[in-house]
Amino acid sequence: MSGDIRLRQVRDYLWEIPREGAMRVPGRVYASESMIAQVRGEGGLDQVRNVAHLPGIVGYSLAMPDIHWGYGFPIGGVAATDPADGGVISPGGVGYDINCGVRALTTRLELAAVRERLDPMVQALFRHIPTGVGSSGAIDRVGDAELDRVMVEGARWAIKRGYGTDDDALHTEEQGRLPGADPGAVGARARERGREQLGTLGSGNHFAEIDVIEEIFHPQAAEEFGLRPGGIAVQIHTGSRGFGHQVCDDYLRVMGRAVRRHGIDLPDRQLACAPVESEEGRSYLGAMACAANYAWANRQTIMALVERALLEALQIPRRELGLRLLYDVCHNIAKLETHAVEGRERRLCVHRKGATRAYPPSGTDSPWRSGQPVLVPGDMGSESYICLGRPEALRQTFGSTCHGAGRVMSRREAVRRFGGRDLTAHLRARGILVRAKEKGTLAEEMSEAYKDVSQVVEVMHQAGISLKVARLRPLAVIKG
Amino acid sequence: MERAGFEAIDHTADVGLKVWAADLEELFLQAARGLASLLTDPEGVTRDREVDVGVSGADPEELLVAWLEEVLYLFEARGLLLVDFERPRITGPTAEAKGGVKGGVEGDAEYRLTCRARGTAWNRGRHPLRSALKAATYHGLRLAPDAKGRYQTTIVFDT
Repeated sequence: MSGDIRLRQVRDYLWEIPREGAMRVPGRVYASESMIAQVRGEGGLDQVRNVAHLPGIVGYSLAMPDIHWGYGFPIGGVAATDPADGGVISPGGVGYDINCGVRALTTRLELAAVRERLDPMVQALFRHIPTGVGSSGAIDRVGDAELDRVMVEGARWAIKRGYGTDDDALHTEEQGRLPGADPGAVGARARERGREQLGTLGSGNHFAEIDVIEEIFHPQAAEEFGLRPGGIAVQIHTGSRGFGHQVCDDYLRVMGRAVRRHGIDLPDRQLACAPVESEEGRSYLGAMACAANYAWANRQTIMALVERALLEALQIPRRELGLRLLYDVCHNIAKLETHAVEGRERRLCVHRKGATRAYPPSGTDSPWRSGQPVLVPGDMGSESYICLGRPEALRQTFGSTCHGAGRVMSRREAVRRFGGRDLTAHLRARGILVRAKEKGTLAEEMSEAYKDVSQVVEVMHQAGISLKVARLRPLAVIKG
Repeated sequence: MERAGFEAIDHTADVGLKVWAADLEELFLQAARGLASLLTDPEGVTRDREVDVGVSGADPEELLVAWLEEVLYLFEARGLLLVDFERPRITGPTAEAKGGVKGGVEGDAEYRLTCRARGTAWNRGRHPLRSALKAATYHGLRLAPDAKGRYQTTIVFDT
């Protein structure tokens, strides 16, 4: 546990784990005083320290305020390595759900007009979007050649198939297509798993949710983003499904061998990695990009299913629904990005494991003048935030911020506490409709099991890294 | 404590499984049983399907992850819920065990496991899910016998 880890406060909301032993850089954690006490109580800080051992790591091993104990990397971890300096890429620094991410949609609907229609709306979402373990069959099974195109084209593959418009791609991180995808680096089993799962949510904490915009913090950005109090928004949270999981699993084996071949010494096997500039590193980057693109095709397809479901439930013309993509971010990824380090531009491999890119207006691929929208979903039953990337993010965190609430209670503990209750009724009493496929796992996602997302967002707001723009309150959720 | 067994343990983000046994093969058996009980209640699951599972790995840790990943794959991708496992057979590094790693990725596998397992086609209504486990990780995973040749380890699952 992290009890024995030395920690010094750098300034408000920022803590440092000094470099010691074989650490190549210090660790840095964004948190409030009350959060840091809680973080000390579990394994997250050890993992920040472990990540600081990665060859070629630059600056700091970073953790966002939603840090919690993961495997290998902490959840909420950010690490940038320099390929020109032997920097590595680690599948464990990306996670199993490659390009797990969030897509936020705005509508022309007002709460007052749909309040009585929420039930048919959530039922329609549940019918149109397959959820749960092994869910499949949202769209026709794709053949092998078609799957290659999904891996290379990402969101654009779905758009070409009629699921959305070119404008959607512009409002997606990396425009919904990570370059360098190499379908040849993807194994047969990943392909098998990928064929049937496009357009599905899956299980765990993945969801599609109807929200009402409750509060605006940044009127100028909110206006540009089309966010107004009382307006209805939709969020989609999912990733690359079994496809990404299989890519990660396959490459953990490859990296296990690479570690021996390249003589890399690591404190945890789940950190297995290889130099970016090695056969194994390049191969993983190529396969990971395929999974990232698969995830974007998935969220793009689901967005079209959301539109279909809402039109059916509300029986209104498309124009009246006015579903628009605000933005789509990934929060489990490693990307080659250019960052200024000590005044010098360097091409770095930035790992974000449960962290979101938060670029300011300049130098971003986002079409929004205010800056890149950052989507921070809360846990089931609690609010979510839309934020805005700031220049400080580029100076301090390789352009990264938090990604969600962060667990504080284990899944088993949550089930022990809430497992016996009728959770659907409990949430309904709080004004939230829930349709879940695996009812036994619903308790795991109770909001009491998470940190307060408001506090998480507040830390990054106060640190000047990402500013709050709007708060969303959930009305209806479908999940696995 | 019994000679061999398993126990679910708390892990903030994910799910952990502590497993102990008198030898390596028994450990792999307990790990699979533990995994099945994390997924659902194995009581009352019929055993009308039988499969022979075979996996390989460069060392015992990789073999254990491959073994549990195989059980999860059969569940998630094929809808096959395995709950009843015979004692697996594990062979150590031999010349003929090299090559043939799953997933189309080349490797130099040296340990092999074969196991006959039974279960049934997963039915959401009849076998409610306890935990939506997605992957077995290498986090903190170490497989080394103690002075008496016994094994104990903890496996963290991604959810």
